[in-house]
Amino acid sequence: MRVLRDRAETIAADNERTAALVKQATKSGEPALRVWTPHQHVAFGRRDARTEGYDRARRYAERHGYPAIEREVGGRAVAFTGSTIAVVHAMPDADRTAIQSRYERASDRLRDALTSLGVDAREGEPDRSFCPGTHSLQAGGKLAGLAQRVHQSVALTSAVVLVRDHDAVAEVLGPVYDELGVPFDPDTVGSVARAGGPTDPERVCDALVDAFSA
Amino acid sequence: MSFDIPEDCRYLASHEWAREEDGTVRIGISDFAQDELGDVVFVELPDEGEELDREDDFGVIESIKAVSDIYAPLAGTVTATNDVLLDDPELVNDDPYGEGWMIELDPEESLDHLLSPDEYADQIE
Repeated sequence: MRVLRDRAETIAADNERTAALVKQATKSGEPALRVWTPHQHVAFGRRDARTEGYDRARRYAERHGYPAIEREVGGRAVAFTGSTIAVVHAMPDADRTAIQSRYERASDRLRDALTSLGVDAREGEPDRSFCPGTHSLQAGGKLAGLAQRVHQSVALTSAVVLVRDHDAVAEVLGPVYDELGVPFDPDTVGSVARAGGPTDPERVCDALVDAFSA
Repeated sequence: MSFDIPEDCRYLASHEWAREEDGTVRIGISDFAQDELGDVVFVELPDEGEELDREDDFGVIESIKAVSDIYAPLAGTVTATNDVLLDDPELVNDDPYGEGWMIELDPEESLDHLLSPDEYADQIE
């Protein structure tokens, strides 16, 4: 499996790097994994972009130092602080209808990584969490969420893992979710550090690469 | 679990259906596909007039589980889109072969290359 760890110079270049990795995985048939800490930004979902308050939400995020982008995978807005980890696992020739089994595998790997860091995470999330979904991990708040994008020839499983900065994430997402009209309780934001794990994103990245490569 | 597979449709292996109706071809996703995706929350469709080749992705469907591309079962020009889905995407779950249809094409080819209902049933068994 090809593994990529570094961050590109800009948010746009970073997105291009992921797209190139996925394209290469599709072409070669070799699975690929990217684990990194993206630049600070807020990634909005497609549904967010259709809400009445979307422009206001974008402006709020950008005024507070979080450039706004729209992301390809599903779900609602997610904030990356610079220490937040993104995971993209590209599986070529994947069965388009194996959504649940891919979630289960990815969730197990995430939990394995967190366990190796001393964090006892369990499935699920508190009510009114950010990017609410059915495949999240929590430990003193939501600290990781999973999503999938399914193409004809490749399936992408993506994860967001909050290492620290849970207060900063709550601070920016509170007003953003208000503008989007999506219920959100800032107290539900967790992190690896808040759950007693390390504060160094590199340590968490190492554990994630090990778990997803196993 | 059994899924509805209407006899008057033909199917693409990626779970889209196509049905000839008065010279046009109506397209959507199958009952199996909507069940696999779960509750659909967002649908993005192409513009009328867009020309599609066979198996081009023509739209995106987002459910509570995943975002998935939707593929054209045959080549043709988009003549209509079901814009009701923009506000009521759950129609894809409720009535995938009826009110949950997605686009209509002026076809450039027949449906002969697509799976028959029996062949599609074998695929999803």
